[in-house]
Amino acid sequence: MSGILPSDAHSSARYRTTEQDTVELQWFGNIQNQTTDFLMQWMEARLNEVGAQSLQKKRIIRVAIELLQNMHHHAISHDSQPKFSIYATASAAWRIETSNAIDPHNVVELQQTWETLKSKCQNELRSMQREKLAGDARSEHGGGGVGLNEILRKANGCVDMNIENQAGIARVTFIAEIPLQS
Amino acid sequence: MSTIQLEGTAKTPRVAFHDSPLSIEISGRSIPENSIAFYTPLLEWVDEHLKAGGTVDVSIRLEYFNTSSSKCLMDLLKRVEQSAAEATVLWYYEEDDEDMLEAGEDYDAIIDMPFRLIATAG
Repeated sequence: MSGILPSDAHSSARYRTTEQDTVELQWFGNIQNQTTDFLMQWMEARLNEVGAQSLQKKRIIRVAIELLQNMHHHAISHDSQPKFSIYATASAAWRIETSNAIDPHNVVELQQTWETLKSKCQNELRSMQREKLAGDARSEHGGGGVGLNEILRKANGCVDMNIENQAGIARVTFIAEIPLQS
Repeated sequence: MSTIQLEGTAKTPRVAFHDSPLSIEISGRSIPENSIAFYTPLLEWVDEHLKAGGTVDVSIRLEYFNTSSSKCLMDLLKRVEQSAAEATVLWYYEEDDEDMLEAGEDYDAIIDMPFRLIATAG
């Protein structure tokens, strides 16, 4: 995986659901350990059914793992509308969408981190991830703070993030699109 | 004799750590929500059993691992590297899985130990 990310990397909503897309799965509610187990099993079985290429199947699962654990770790407890959706697109890809409320105090840092990562090419993202892997710093949940980097790399840059304020709640949406065949 | 033998689950890897002869194997998937809790006993085992030296192969054959597990794996490999043992890392990846190959290359670039990247049939 290499190459420069699209020049309009900072624009939002490049990946929108269209009439040609079909819903594969929608989950509304909090993401718990057992939720992730269920969703993983379902995705693996479904990806086998639709004949996804082995590596693309793994990339979809790897992106989904990071998105789901991001929701699990960073969602706020009184959010009543966390959402995890998968759409099959007309271009034979899976579009994974997550939406959850986050602590408003984290919004600026998240946006800055995201804009920095989106400005990097795949090789730069890999170098950044390697540096963090080698370092001693840890995030609150034991990782190296490289989950977003991993999502961008495995989705080959085809990820959007959008943050909206709804009734005083900051809601972050990630949309990742990954082809079923490479 | 001291052994850690854990069967794999949907989120945690199969683990087989043996001290006679020394061997360390991790395989399957490593995507627990709390990676530190899972890996801490494994790190302690490495500290305890490699301090006397010896020769050990560290076999890692993972299909999926999350980013928090990636840090824990690095911690484990650093402990092995800093131990008195002569270790070789055997990093297995499915031949079509370039992501897992890249991950192995990244560990190899960071860790100063003999490191073999081994392709397997998918």
